[in-house]
Amino acid sequence: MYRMEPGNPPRIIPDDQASLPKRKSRHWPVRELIVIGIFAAVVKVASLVIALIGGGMNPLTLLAKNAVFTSLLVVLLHKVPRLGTLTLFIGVSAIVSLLLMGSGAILLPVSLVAALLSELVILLAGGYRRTIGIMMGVAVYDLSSKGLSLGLSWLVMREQSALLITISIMVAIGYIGALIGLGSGHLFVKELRHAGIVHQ
Amino acid sequence: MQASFISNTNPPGSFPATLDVRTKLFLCVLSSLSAIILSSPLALAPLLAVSALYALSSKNIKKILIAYVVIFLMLGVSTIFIVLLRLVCPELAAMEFRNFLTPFLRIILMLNVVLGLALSSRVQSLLMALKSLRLPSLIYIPTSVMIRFIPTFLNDAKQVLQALKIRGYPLTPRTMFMHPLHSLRVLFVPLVFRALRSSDDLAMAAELKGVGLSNSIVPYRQQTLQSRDLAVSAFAVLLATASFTIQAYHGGFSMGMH
Repeated sequence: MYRMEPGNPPRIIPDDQASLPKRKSRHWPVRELIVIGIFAAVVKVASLVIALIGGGMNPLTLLAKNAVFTSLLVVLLHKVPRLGTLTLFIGVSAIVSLLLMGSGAILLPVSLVAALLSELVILLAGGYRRTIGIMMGVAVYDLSSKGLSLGLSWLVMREQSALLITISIMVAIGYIGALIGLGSGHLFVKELRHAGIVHQ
Repeated sequence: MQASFISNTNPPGSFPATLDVRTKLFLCVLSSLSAIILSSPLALAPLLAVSALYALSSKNIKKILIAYVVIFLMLGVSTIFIVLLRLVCPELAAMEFRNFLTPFLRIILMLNVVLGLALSSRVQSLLMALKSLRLPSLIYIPTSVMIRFIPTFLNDAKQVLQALKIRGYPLTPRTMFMHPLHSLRVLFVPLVFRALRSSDDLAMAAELKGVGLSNSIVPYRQQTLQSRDLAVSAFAVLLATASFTIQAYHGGFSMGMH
Protein backbone atom coordinates (compact mmCIF):
# COMPACT_ATOMS: atom_id res chain seq x y z
CA MET A 1 0.00 0.00 0.00
CA TYR A 2 1.31 3.49 -0.88
CA ARG A 3 1.00 6.40 1.46
CA MET A 4 1.87 10.00 0.52
CA GLU A 5 3.32 12.18 3.26
CA PRO A 6 4.06 15.92 2.85
CA GLY A 7 7.71 16.54 1.97
CA ASN A 8 8.52 12.83 1.64
CA PRO A 9 8.51 10.56 -1.41
CA PRO A 10 5.78 7.88 -1.54
CA ARG A 11 6.77 4.78 0.36
CA ILE A 12 5.34 1.35 0.89
CA ILE A 13 3.55 0.85 4.19
CA PRO A 14 2.76 -2.73 5.25
CA ASP A 15 -0.95 -3.52 5.43
CA ASP A 16 -0.86 -4.18 9.20
CA GLN A 17 0.61 -0.70 9.84
CA ALA A 18 -1.70 0.99 7.37
CA SER A 19 -4.74 -0.28 9.20
CA LEU A 20 -3.55 1.10 12.55
CA PRO A 21 -5.45 4.18 13.79
CA LYS A 22 -3.59 7.45 13.27
CA ARG A 23 -1.91 8.95 16.36
CA LYS A 24 -3.96 11.77 17.84
CA SER A 25 -2.35 15.11 17.02
CA ARG A 26 -0.96 17.07 19.95
CA HIS A 27 -1.62 20.35 18.12
CA TRP A 28 -4.92 22.15 18.35
CA PRO A 29 -6.77 22.31 15.03
CA VAL A 30 -7.54 25.88 13.93
CA ARG A 31 -11.24 24.91 13.74
CA GLU A 32 -11.37 24.22 17.49
CA LEU A 33 -9.41 27.36 18.39
CA ILE A 34 -11.92 29.41 16.39
CA VAL A 35 -14.88 27.76 18.16
CA ILE A 36 -13.29 28.68 21.51
CA GLY A 37 -12.79 32.31 20.40
CA ILE A 38 -16.35 32.58 19.09
CA PHE A 39 -17.84 31.20 22.31
CA ALA A 40 -15.73 33.58 24.38
CA ALA A 41 -17.18 36.46 22.30
CA VAL A 42 -20.74 35.15 22.67
CA VAL A 43 -20.36 34.92 26.46
CA LYS A 44 -19.23 38.56 26.62
CA VAL A 45 -22.04 39.76 24.35
CA ALA A 46 -24.74 37.71 26.12
CA SER A 47 -23.65 39.08 29.52
CA LEU A 48 -23.71 42.63 28.19
CA VAL A 49 -27.13 42.24 26.52
CA ILE A 50 -28.67 40.65 29.64
CA ALA A 51 -27.33 43.46 31.81
CA LEU A 52 -28.71 46.07 29.37
CA ILE A 53 -32.15 44.48 28.99
CA GLY A 54 -32.47 43.63 32.67
CA GLY A 55 -31.80 47.23 33.72
CA GLY A 56 -28.36 46.74 35.30
CA MET A 57 -26.97 44.13 37.62
CA ASN A 58 -29.91 43.18 39.84
CA PRO A 59 -30.37 39.68 41.38
CA LEU A 60 -32.47 38.51 38.42
CA THR A 61 -29.95 39.55 35.78
CA LEU A 62 -27.16 38.05 37.91
CA LEU A 63 -28.99 34.72 37.90
CA ALA A 64 -29.60 34.97 34.16
CA LYS A 65 -26.03 36.03 33.33
CA ASN A 66 -24.49 33.17 35.29
CA ALA A 67 -27.00 30.66 33.91
CA VAL A 68 -26.16 31.70 30.34
CA PHE A 69 -22.40 31.62 31.00
CA THR A 70 -22.56 28.11 32.46
CA SER A 71 -24.88 26.83 29.71
CA LEU A 72 -22.54 28.16 27.02
CA LEU A 73 -19.55 26.63 28.77
CA VAL A 74 -21.28 23.22 28.89
CA VAL A 75 -22.11 23.49 25.16
CA LEU A 76 -18.51 24.50 24.33
CA LEU A 77 -16.99 21.62 26.30
CA HIS A 78 -19.25 19.19 24.43
CA LYS A 79 -18.40 20.81 21.09
CA VAL A 80 -14.62 20.76 21.74
CA PRO A 81 -14.07 17.76 24.05
CA ARG A 82 -10.33 18.11 24.49
CA LEU A 83 -8.14 18.41 27.58
CA GLY A 84 -7.31 22.09 28.08
CA THR A 85 -10.41 23.54 26.40
CA LEU A 86 -11.72 25.01 29.65
CA THR A 87 -8.35 26.52 30.57
CA LEU A 88 -7.88 27.97 27.11
CA PHE A 89 -11.38 29.45 27.07
CA ILE A 90 -10.91 31.03 30.49
CA GLY A 91 -7.41 32.23 29.62
CA VAL A 92 -8.55 33.86 26.38
CA SER A 93 -11.54 35.55 28.07
CA ALA A 94 -9.28 36.84 30.84
CA ILE A 95 -6.67 38.14 28.37
CA VAL A 96 -9.32 40.03 26.42
CA SER A 97 -10.80 41.47 29.63
CA LEU A 98 -7.29 42.58 30.54
CA LEU A 99 -6.70 44.13 27.12
CA LEU A 100 -10.06 45.85 26.69
CA MET A 101 -11.03 46.71 30.23
CA GLY A 102 -7.83 46.43 32.26
CA SER A 103 -9.72 44.31 34.76
CA GLY A 104 -8.08 40.99 35.28
CA ALA A 105 -4.38 41.70 35.67
CA ILE A 106 -4.84 40.06 39.04
CA LEU A 107 -7.87 37.93 38.12
CA LEU A 108 -6.02 36.19 35.25
CA PRO A 109 -3.89 33.89 37.45
CA VAL A 110 -6.85 33.25 39.75
CA SER A 111 -9.08 32.22 36.83
CA LEU A 112 -6.34 29.99 35.45
CA VAL A 113 -5.86 28.25 38.80
CA ALA A 114 -9.62 27.64 39.02
CA ALA A 115 -9.67 26.33 35.43
CA LEU A 116 -6.73 23.95 36.06
CA LEU A 117 -8.46 22.63 39.17
CA SER A 118 -11.60 22.01 37.10
CA GLU A 119 -9.58 20.20 34.40
CA LEU A 120 -8.29 17.89 37.13
CA VAL A 121 -11.84 17.23 38.35
CA ILE A 122 -12.95 16.49 34.77
CA LEU A 123 -10.06 14.05 34.35
CA LEU A 124 -10.88 12.29 37.60
CA ALA A 125 -14.56 12.10 36.67
CA GLY A 126 -13.92 10.28 33.41
CA GLY A 127 -12.63 12.97 31.05
CA TYR A 128 -14.25 15.15 28.41
CA ARG A 129 -16.03 12.21 26.82
CA ARG A 130 -18.39 11.86 29.77
CA THR A 131 -21.13 14.40 30.41
CA ILE A 132 -20.92 13.91 34.17
CA GLY A 133 -17.23 14.86 34.09
CA ILE A 134 -17.96 18.05 32.18
CA MET A 135 -20.83 19.01 34.49
CA MET A 136 -18.71 18.44 37.61
CA GLY A 137 -15.79 20.36 36.13
CA VAL A 138 -17.96 23.37 35.28
CA ALA A 139 -19.57 23.34 38.73
CA VAL A 140 -16.15 23.21 40.39
CA TYR A 141 -14.85 25.99 38.12
CA ASP A 142 -17.73 28.30 39.05
CA LEU A 143 -17.31 27.61 42.75
CA SER A 144 -13.52 27.94 42.84
CA SER A 145 -13.32 31.02 40.61
CA LYS A 146 -15.99 32.82 42.62
CA GLY A 147 -14.33 31.87 45.89
CA LEU A 148 -10.90 33.00 44.74
CA SER A 149 -12.34 36.24 43.31
CA LEU A 150 -13.94 36.97 46.67
CA GLY A 151 -10.54 36.48 48.25
CA LEU A 152 -9.09 39.05 45.85
CA SER A 153 -11.95 41.45 46.57
CA TRP A 154 -11.03 41.17 50.22
CA LEU A 155 -7.49 42.24 49.27
CA VAL A 156 -8.82 45.37 47.53
CA MET A 157 -11.33 46.25 50.25
CA ARG A 158 -9.46 44.90 53.26
CA GLU A 159 -9.78 48.18 55.16
CA GLN A 160 -13.59 47.95 55.10
CA SER A 161 -14.34 44.25 54.85
CA ALA A 162 -18.03 44.87 55.56
CA LEU A 163 -18.27 45.98 51.92
CA LEU A 164 -17.70 42.33 51.09
CA ILE A 165 -20.97 41.23 52.67
CA THR A 166 -23.06 42.74 49.86
CA ILE A 167 -20.66 41.33 47.26
CA SER A 168 -20.74 37.86 48.84
CA ILE A 169 -24.55 37.80 48.70
CA MET A 170 -24.45 38.79 45.03
CA VAL A 171 -21.84 36.10 44.31
CA ALA A 172 -23.97 33.48 46.09
CA ILE A 173 -26.96 34.47 43.94
CA GLY A 174 -24.70 34.20 40.91
CA TYR A 175 -23.67 30.68 41.87
CA ILE A 176 -27.33 29.62 42.13
CA GLY A 177 -27.67 30.91 38.56
CA ALA A 178 -24.63 28.87 37.55
CA LEU A 179 -26.19 25.71 38.97
CA ILE A 180 -29.40 26.44 37.02
CA GLY A 181 -27.21 26.92 33.93
CA LEU A 182 -25.76 23.43 34.35
CA GLY A 183 -29.24 21.95 33.91
CA SER A 184 -30.20 24.20 31.01
CA GLY A 185 -26.83 23.59 29.35
CA HIS A 186 -27.37 19.84 29.56
CA LEU A 187 -30.81 20.19 27.96
CA PHE A 188 -29.33 22.43 25.27
CA VAL A 189 -26.60 19.91 24.46
CA LYS A 190 -29.26 17.20 24.08
CA GLU A 191 -31.10 19.37 21.55
CA LEU A 192 -27.89 20.23 19.68
CA ARG A 193 -26.92 16.57 19.59
CA HIS A 194 -30.36 15.73 18.23
CA ALA A 195 -29.90 18.43 15.57
CA GLY A 196 -26.49 16.98 14.66
CA ILE A 197 -24.56 20.13 15.64
CA VAL A 198 -22.80 18.53 18.61
CA HIS A 199 -21.50 15.09 17.71
CA GLN A 200 -20.31 13.83 21.07
CA MET B 1 -15.51 50.97 24.98
CA GLN B 2 -14.02 52.43 21.86
CA ALA B 3 -11.60 49.55 21.67
CA SER B 4 -14.53 47.22 21.14
CA PHE B 5 -17.11 49.11 19.22
CA ILE B 6 -15.86 52.16 17.39
CA SER B 7 -13.47 52.20 14.47
CA ASN B 8 -11.40 55.35 14.90
CA THR B 9 -12.59 58.64 16.36
CA ASN B 10 -9.86 59.99 18.56
CA PRO B 11 -10.37 63.65 19.38
CA PRO B 12 -7.52 65.90 18.22
CA GLY B 13 -4.82 66.45 20.85
CA SER B 14 -5.59 63.26 22.76
CA PHE B 15 -2.39 62.27 24.61
CA PRO B 16 -3.17 58.54 25.14
CA ALA B 17 -3.87 58.24 21.38
CA THR B 18 -0.24 59.12 20.66
CA LEU B 19 1.03 56.22 22.78
CA ASP B 20 1.57 52.64 21.65
CA VAL B 21 -1.09 50.15 22.83
CA ARG B 22 1.60 48.09 24.58
CA THR B 23 2.57 51.13 26.67
CA LYS B 24 -1.05 51.65 27.69
CA LEU B 25 -1.37 47.97 28.61
CA PHE B 26 1.79 48.25 30.71
CA LEU B 27 0.30 51.26 32.53
CA CYS B 28 -2.87 49.22 33.26
CA VAL B 29 -0.91 46.29 34.69
CA LEU B 30 1.41 48.54 36.75
CA SER B 31 -1.54 50.48 38.18
CA SER B 32 -3.47 47.29 39.04
CA LEU B 33 -0.48 45.89 40.94
CA SER B 34 0.20 49.21 42.72
CA ALA B 35 -3.47 49.52 43.68
CA ILE B 36 -3.47 46.05 45.22
CA ILE B 37 -0.22 46.50 47.17
CA LEU B 38 -0.55 50.12 48.36
CA SER B 39 -2.86 50.73 51.31
CA SER B 40 -2.00 54.28 52.40
CA PRO B 41 -4.10 57.12 50.87
CA LEU B 42 -0.99 59.31 50.95
CA ALA B 43 0.92 56.79 48.81
CA LEU B 44 -1.98 56.38 46.40
CA ALA B 45 -2.44 60.16 45.98
CA PRO B 46 0.40 60.85 43.46
CA LEU B 47 -0.60 57.90 41.29
CA LEU B 48 -4.20 59.01 41.43
CA ALA B 49 -3.41 62.60 40.44
CA VAL B 50 -1.26 61.61 37.46
CA SER B 51 -3.73 58.93 36.32
CA ALA B 52 -6.58 61.47 36.44
CA LEU B 53 -4.55 63.84 34.22
CA TYR B 54 -3.81 60.91 31.87
CA ALA B 55 -7.51 60.03 31.58
CA LEU B 56 -8.57 63.65 31.12
CA SER B 57 -5.96 64.14 28.40
CA SER B 58 -7.94 61.72 26.22
CA LYS B 59 -10.37 64.69 25.75
CA ASN B 60 -13.47 62.51 26.21
CA ILE B 61 -14.80 64.41 29.21
CA LYS B 62 -18.41 63.23 28.78
CA LYS B 63 -17.54 59.51 28.81
CA ILE B 64 -15.15 59.97 31.74
CA LEU B 65 -17.88 61.76 33.72
CA ILE B 66 -20.37 58.95 32.97
CA ALA B 67 -17.88 56.34 34.22
CA TYR B 68 -17.24 58.36 37.39
CA VAL B 69 -20.99 58.76 38.06
CA VAL B 70 -21.51 54.98 37.68
CA ILE B 71 -18.66 54.26 40.12
CA PHE B 72 -19.99 56.81 42.62
CA LEU B 73 -23.47 55.25 42.40
CA MET B 74 -22.10 51.73 42.99
CA LEU B 75 -20.05 52.86 45.98
CA GLY B 76 -23.03 54.86 47.27
CA VAL B 77 -25.23 51.74 47.24
CA SER B 78 -22.53 49.74 49.06
CA THR B 79 -22.16 52.50 51.69
CA ILE B 80 -25.93 52.55 52.27
CA PHE B 81 -25.83 48.79 52.87
CA ILE B 82 -22.98 49.25 55.38
CA VAL B 83 -24.94 51.92 57.25
CA LEU B 84 -27.95 49.56 57.38
CA LEU B 85 -25.69 46.73 58.50
CA ARG B 86 -24.25 48.90 61.26
CA LEU B 87 -27.77 49.64 62.51
CA VAL B 88 -28.45 45.89 62.76
CA CYS B 89 -25.03 44.70 63.93
CA PRO B 90 -22.74 47.59 65.09
CA GLU B 91 -19.66 45.46 65.79
CA LEU B 92 -19.55 44.05 62.24
CA ALA B 93 -19.04 47.24 60.22
CA ALA B 94 -16.61 49.95 61.30
CA MET B 95 -17.58 53.44 60.11
CA GLU B 96 -14.15 55.00 59.75
CA PHE B 97 -13.55 57.44 56.92
CA ARG B 98 -10.12 55.98 56.05
CA ASN B 99 -11.61 52.51 55.63
CA PHE B 100 -13.89 53.84 52.90
CA LEU B 101 -11.31 56.14 51.33
CA THR B 102 -8.60 53.60 50.40
CA PRO B 103 -10.79 51.12 48.44
CA PHE B 104 -12.40 54.10 46.69
CA LEU B 105 -9.00 55.54 45.68
CA ARG B 106 -7.90 52.13 44.35
CA ILE B 107 -10.99 51.81 42.17
CA ILE B 108 -10.62 55.35 40.81
CA LEU B 109 -6.93 54.74 40.00
CA MET B 110 -7.71 51.60 38.00
CA LEU B 111 -10.64 53.32 36.28
CA ASN B 112 -8.45 56.23 35.12
CA VAL B 113 -5.85 54.07 33.36
CA VAL B 114 -8.50 51.81 31.84
CA LEU B 115 -10.35 54.83 30.43
CA GLY B 116 -7.09 56.06 28.93
CA LEU B 117 -6.71 52.72 27.13
CA ALA B 118 -10.32 52.17 26.14
CA LEU B 119 -11.07 55.67 24.85
CA SER B 120 -8.04 55.88 22.58
CA SER B 121 -7.30 52.39 21.21
CA ARG B 122 -8.58 50.70 18.06
CA VAL B 123 -9.36 47.00 17.75
CA GLN B 124 -6.77 46.70 14.96
CA SER B 125 -4.06 48.18 17.19
CA LEU B 126 -4.89 45.71 19.94
CA LEU B 127 -4.70 42.81 17.50
CA MET B 128 -1.35 44.02 16.19
CA ALA B 129 -0.09 44.43 19.76
CA LEU B 130 -1.10 40.82 20.44
CA LYS B 131 0.72 39.66 17.35
CA SER B 132 3.85 41.61 18.28
CA LEU B 133 3.89 39.99 21.73
CA ARG B 134 4.77 36.73 19.88
CA LEU B 135 2.03 34.76 21.59
CA PRO B 136 1.62 31.14 20.43
CA SER B 137 -1.15 30.51 17.87
CA LEU B 138 -2.96 28.58 20.60
CA ILE B 139 -3.66 31.91 22.32
CA TYR B 140 -3.38 34.38 19.45
CA ILE B 141 -6.04 32.80 17.17
CA PRO B 142 -8.93 32.55 19.70
CA THR B 143 -8.07 35.96 21.18
CA SER B 144 -8.10 37.62 17.75
CA VAL B 145 -11.35 35.87 16.83
CA MET B 146 -12.93 36.99 20.08
CA ILE B 147 -11.89 40.64 19.76
CA ARG B 148 -12.91 40.70 16.10
CA PHE B 149 -16.31 39.09 16.69
CA ILE B 150 -17.58 40.99 19.74
CA PRO B 151 -18.90 43.87 17.56
CA THR B 152 -20.35 41.35 15.05
CA PHE B 153 -22.25 39.48 17.75
CA LEU B 154 -23.47 42.73 19.27
CA ASN B 155 -24.92 43.48 15.85
CA ASP B 156 -26.47 40.00 15.74
CA ALA B 157 -28.01 40.50 19.19
CA LYS B 158 -29.43 43.82 17.98
CA GLN B 159 -30.97 42.06 14.96
CA VAL B 160 -32.48 39.35 17.18
CA LEU B 161 -34.00 42.03 19.43
CA GLN B 162 -35.42 43.86 16.39
CA ALA B 163 -36.88 40.59 15.03
CA LEU B 164 -38.56 39.96 18.39
CA LYS B 165 -39.97 43.48 18.34
CA ILE B 166 -41.40 42.97 14.84
CA ARG B 167 -43.02 39.71 15.98
CA GLY B 168 -44.69 41.58 18.85
CA TYR B 169 -42.42 40.46 21.68
CA PRO B 170 -40.25 43.43 22.67
CA LEU B 171 -37.67 42.52 25.30
CA THR B 172 -37.79 45.12 28.06
CA PRO B 173 -36.83 45.05 31.76
CA ARG B 174 -40.53 44.40 32.50
CA THR B 175 -40.84 41.35 30.20
CA MET B 176 -37.50 40.09 31.48
CA PHE B 177 -38.84 40.32 35.04
CA MET B 178 -42.28 38.83 34.27
CA HIS B 179 -41.10 36.00 31.95
CA PRO B 180 -37.38 35.47 32.60
CA LEU B 181 -37.11 31.95 31.17
CA HIS B 182 -39.05 32.74 28.01
CA SER B 183 -37.04 35.96 27.48
CA LEU B 184 -33.77 34.10 27.85
CA ARG B 185 -34.89 31.38 25.47
CA VAL B 186 -35.92 33.72 22.65
CA LEU B 187 -32.69 35.71 22.92
CA PHE B 188 -30.17 33.04 23.77
CA VAL B 189 -31.09 30.20 21.37
CA PRO B 190 -30.78 32.23 18.11
CA LEU B 191 -27.50 33.71 19.35
CA VAL B 192 -25.99 30.26 20.02
CA PHE B 193 -27.10 28.89 16.66
CA ARG B 194 -25.68 31.96 14.98
CA ALA B 195 -22.40 31.48 16.88
CA LEU B 196 -22.10 27.83 15.90
CA ARG B 197 -22.78 28.65 12.27
CA SER B 198 -20.25 31.51 12.30
CA SER B 199 -17.62 29.28 13.88
CA ASP B 200 -18.07 26.66 11.13
CA ASP B 201 -17.87 29.29 8.36
CA LEU B 202 -14.88 31.01 9.89
CA ALA B 203 -13.05 27.74 10.56
CA MET B 204 -13.43 26.71 6.91
CA ALA B 205 -12.19 30.11 5.73
CA ALA B 206 -9.23 29.98 8.12
CA GLU B 207 -8.24 26.48 7.03
CA LEU B 208 -8.39 27.50 3.37
CA LYS B 209 -6.23 30.55 4.07
CA GLY B 210 -3.70 28.44 5.98
CA VAL B 211 -4.10 30.34 9.25
CA GLY B 212 -1.91 28.87 11.97
CA LEU B 213 0.37 27.10 9.49
CA SER B 214 2.70 29.95 8.66
CA ASN B 215 4.71 32.35 10.79
CA SER B 216 5.81 34.49 7.88
CA ILE B 217 2.78 36.82 7.84
CA VAL B 218 3.97 40.42 7.64
CA PRO B 219 1.75 43.12 9.21
CA TYR B 220 0.54 45.94 6.96
CA ARG B 221 1.79 48.57 9.42
CA GLN B 222 4.69 47.88 11.80
CA GLN B 223 4.23 48.96 15.41
CA THR B 224 7.36 50.35 16.99
CA LEU B 225 7.86 51.83 20.43
CA GLN B 226 8.71 55.54 20.19
CA SER B 227 10.87 57.51 22.62
CA ARG B 228 7.63 58.99 24.00
CA ASP B 229 6.47 55.45 24.99
CA LEU B 230 9.73 54.71 26.75
CA ALA B 231 9.63 58.06 28.57
CA VAL B 232 6.05 57.49 29.75
CA SER B 233 6.86 53.93 30.92
CA ALA B 234 9.96 55.13 32.79
CA PHE B 235 7.97 57.96 34.40
CA ALA B 236 5.27 55.46 35.47
CA VAL B 237 7.86 53.16 37.05
CA LEU B 238 9.47 56.12 38.87
CA LEU B 239 6.09 57.31 40.14
CA ALA B 240 5.18 53.82 41.36
CA THR B 241 8.57 53.59 43.12
CA ALA B 242 7.94 56.97 44.79
CA SER B 243 4.52 55.76 45.96
CA PHE B 244 6.01 52.57 47.39
CA THR B 245 8.62 54.69 49.22
CA ILE B 246 5.88 56.90 50.70
CA GLN B 247 4.02 53.75 51.74
CA ALA B 248 7.16 52.36 53.41
CA TYR B 249 7.72 55.57 55.40
CA HIS B 250 4.13 56.43 56.30
CA GLY B 251 1.95 53.38 55.87
CA GLY B 252 4.25 50.40 56.37
CA PHE B 253 3.95 47.23 54.30
CA SER B 254 1.52 45.29 56.44
CA MET B 255 -0.91 45.38 53.46
CA GLY B 256 -3.65 46.21 55.93
CA MET B 257 -3.56 42.73 57.47
CA HIS B 258 -3.52 43.58 61.15
